[in-house]
Amino acid sequence: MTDAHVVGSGIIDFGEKYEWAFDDLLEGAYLDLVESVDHGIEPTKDIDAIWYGTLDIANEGSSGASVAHATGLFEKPATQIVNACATGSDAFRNAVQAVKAGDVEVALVIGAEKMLDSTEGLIGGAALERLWRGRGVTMPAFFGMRATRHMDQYETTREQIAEVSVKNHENGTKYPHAHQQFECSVDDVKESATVSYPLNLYDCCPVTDGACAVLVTNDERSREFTDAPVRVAGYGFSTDSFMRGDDLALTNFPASRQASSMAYERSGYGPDDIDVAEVHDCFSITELITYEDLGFCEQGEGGTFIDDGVPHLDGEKPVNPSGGLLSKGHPIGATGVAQIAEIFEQLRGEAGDVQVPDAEVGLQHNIGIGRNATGAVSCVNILER
Amino acid sequence: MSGPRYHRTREQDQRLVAFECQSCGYVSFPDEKQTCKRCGDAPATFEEVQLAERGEIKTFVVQEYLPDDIEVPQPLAIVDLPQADGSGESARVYGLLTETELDELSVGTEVEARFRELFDDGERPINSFKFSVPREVKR
Amino acid sequence: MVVIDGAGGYVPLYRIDRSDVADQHGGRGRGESAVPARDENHVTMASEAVSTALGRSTTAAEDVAAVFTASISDQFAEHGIAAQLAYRAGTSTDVRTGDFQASGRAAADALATAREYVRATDEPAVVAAVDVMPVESGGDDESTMGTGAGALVLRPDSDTPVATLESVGQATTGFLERHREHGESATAGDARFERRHGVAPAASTAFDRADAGGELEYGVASAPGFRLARTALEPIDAERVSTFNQVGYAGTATLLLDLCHAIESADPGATIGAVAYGQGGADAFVVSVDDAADDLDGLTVAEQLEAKEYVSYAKHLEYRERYDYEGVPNA
Repeated sequence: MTDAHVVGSGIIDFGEKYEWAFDDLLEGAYLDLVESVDHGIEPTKDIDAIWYGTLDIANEGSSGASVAHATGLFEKPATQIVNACATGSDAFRNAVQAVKAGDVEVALVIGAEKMLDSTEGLIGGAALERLWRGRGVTMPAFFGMRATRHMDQYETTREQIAEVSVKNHENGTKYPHAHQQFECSVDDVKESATVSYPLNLYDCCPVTDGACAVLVTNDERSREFTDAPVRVAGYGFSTDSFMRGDDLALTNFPASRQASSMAYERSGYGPDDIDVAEVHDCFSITELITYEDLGFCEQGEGGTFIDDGVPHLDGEKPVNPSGGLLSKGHPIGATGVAQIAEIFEQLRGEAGDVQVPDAEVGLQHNIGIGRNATGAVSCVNILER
Repeated sequence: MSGPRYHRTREQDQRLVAFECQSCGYVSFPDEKQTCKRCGDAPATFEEVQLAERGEIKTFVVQEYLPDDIEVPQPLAIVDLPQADGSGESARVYGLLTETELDELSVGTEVEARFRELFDDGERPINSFKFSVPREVKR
Repeated sequence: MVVIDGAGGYVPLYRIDRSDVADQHGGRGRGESAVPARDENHVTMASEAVSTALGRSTTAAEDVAAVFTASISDQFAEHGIAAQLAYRAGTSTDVRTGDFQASGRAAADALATAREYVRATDEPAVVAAVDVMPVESGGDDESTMGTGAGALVLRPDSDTPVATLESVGQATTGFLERHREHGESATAGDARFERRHGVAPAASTAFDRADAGGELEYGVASAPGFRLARTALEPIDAERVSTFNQVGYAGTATLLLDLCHAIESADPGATIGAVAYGQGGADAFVVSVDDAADDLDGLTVAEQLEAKEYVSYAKHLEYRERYDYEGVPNA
């Protein structure tokens, strides 16, 4: 079986892109990829299949046909992946599997989300007229409940949680595609408006439009596109739910533990081998508990981990050098793909002001909540240069 | 209570009837199924159990931003509801809190199930359970 | 004989201070009135009272043979309350249900009918009454219209009754003065005329027919105003037990709520005369309190009167009426 390699990436600046239609986002990321492949690409000839991630928040009637319309890549398999906030990562994982299986030689993975065309946004979901599942449950509530319990059970402090946002905003000012280009302090986070106690405005990622694309291919063709391919060393995907009764699911995400175990096992790497990570920080607390779920620190020690500066850009294990979702933004379908693109750049030494020195192995983690906030999905991919 | 969706789960929604997996002891609520969410037994054997109307908060938030038809601040919790006869495991549920404020809440707070209108389905009320700190606490 | 095997009252947490209503529209305001929470409705409030009453009784829900309910403010012309309460409580599907309405006497009609049902079948029955009285901003009765629920469990006999329903008397006089259209506040008419020609003769006839005599220690009266209720109790020389100044007139619920309050607060052996006046006449009941009333599970009415929170004038209006009724938008 062949390995799968990332050989190109393309991204647009994330932000409030009122002047861009949904198709423009897709087209922008795609063109950036086409123009940046080291040795060039003839898209209609080279690309065999497309995996396309979007939740279609903007209600564009998306399907595989949409990505063909936006890119001109007709007459090819085009699969839309929808898997909550892990949509982009799962599109990537599916493409990798097809390449590894030998069925597809060159795959385009592209994710996009137009978050700002709908004034209702994600909060409207909380008006759900269903009993016992999503009624009154917003995203900040779902993740905030982990924060309440983590603080109670492990004496994690409000300041430690806020520090995640401080770190990621600082990184974001150095990352060109980030939506929010400003720094904030722990006090700023603590004093910003309460969104869902215990989380405040600066604990939450912004609402952002964006798109990103990566190119995946096999051993044989990888050098055709670049001299510096990045190998996909492992991947994992899993689902879990707090409703299954495990207390761990009240503070953490068992699905992330399962997905990362799969990825570690496939890759032969462990948490200690990871040089740089892009992890899901839709809210500050999400990143803090993810340190634990990925095995970067012991259970309950996420607060100490950030207190000690380990995940900072100059720390021993930099996490979210791109500024993460907190700063870069979280255009859902694009999010996971953009994390892959950042790891790709990091491992090739092209990450500019946020470059982690000598990064050889990188991890990407993307979590989503589904079934009206009663279930979690998690995707982990490990890449190496 | 009206409409097929609410009709088919009315025992759970109005009487807190739950279902205990005979393989692993998992208490399924409100889902009445033949497969077990915890052990994956399929087909699984479930027995009906009655949940208590008092439970314990495992964790909570207090939401400030919600769609217009939900009054804020709106506390929301994950609540463990034990079985009424004290046997077996608890069911773990989402609980919207009513008549309860942030300073009355912590992990471990006892709450009682209150039969309330969850929403109005356009015109007609859909009644089921919310939770609140016990009324005597308000005295 | 018919005994009261369990009794339960429900008063919502929220109150409007009547002086806050007076501040809006002038006049004086003493006392307070109960306001439902935004997520309460007739079925949920009555359910609270029924749960308390059944919890205090020796009667299992599945043995209840009839559920009779009363309400004069349910927003639905068709939807029913009794069947919903029965299902929630867990009765058998062969339970008899009845929804009484359209007169302030409706709770008395339900109670008297339940008593006859128990005597006829030797089976237990549940009676519940619930109302959220509508108000209009600036209306005459805005500050005194209340909300609440009450429920009783009746049985042919019990080893541990909370009270005994000794006798019933009714006076269907056909007198009509106060009236109210759906979703609107009442047209009270001439209060003096109603007291003299409506309440006084109906109540005294009903008490006579209940063979109440003059020996009753406590009096409970349901009528849509403090003075009307006082008039209804004039035929008996009894100490008045009333939630009027804490709850307001809670429609049909007042009879059962106040009766429950009296049973909870009186000593065993005490006698209570309860009268409900409404469109068409009045009914009187004689109740004697038994030993089990001394030690009851759940919060008493008195405790619920104490466990309260005040809401603003705006919330009082918003919480009381949320539905369009028959196409008429709410104030």
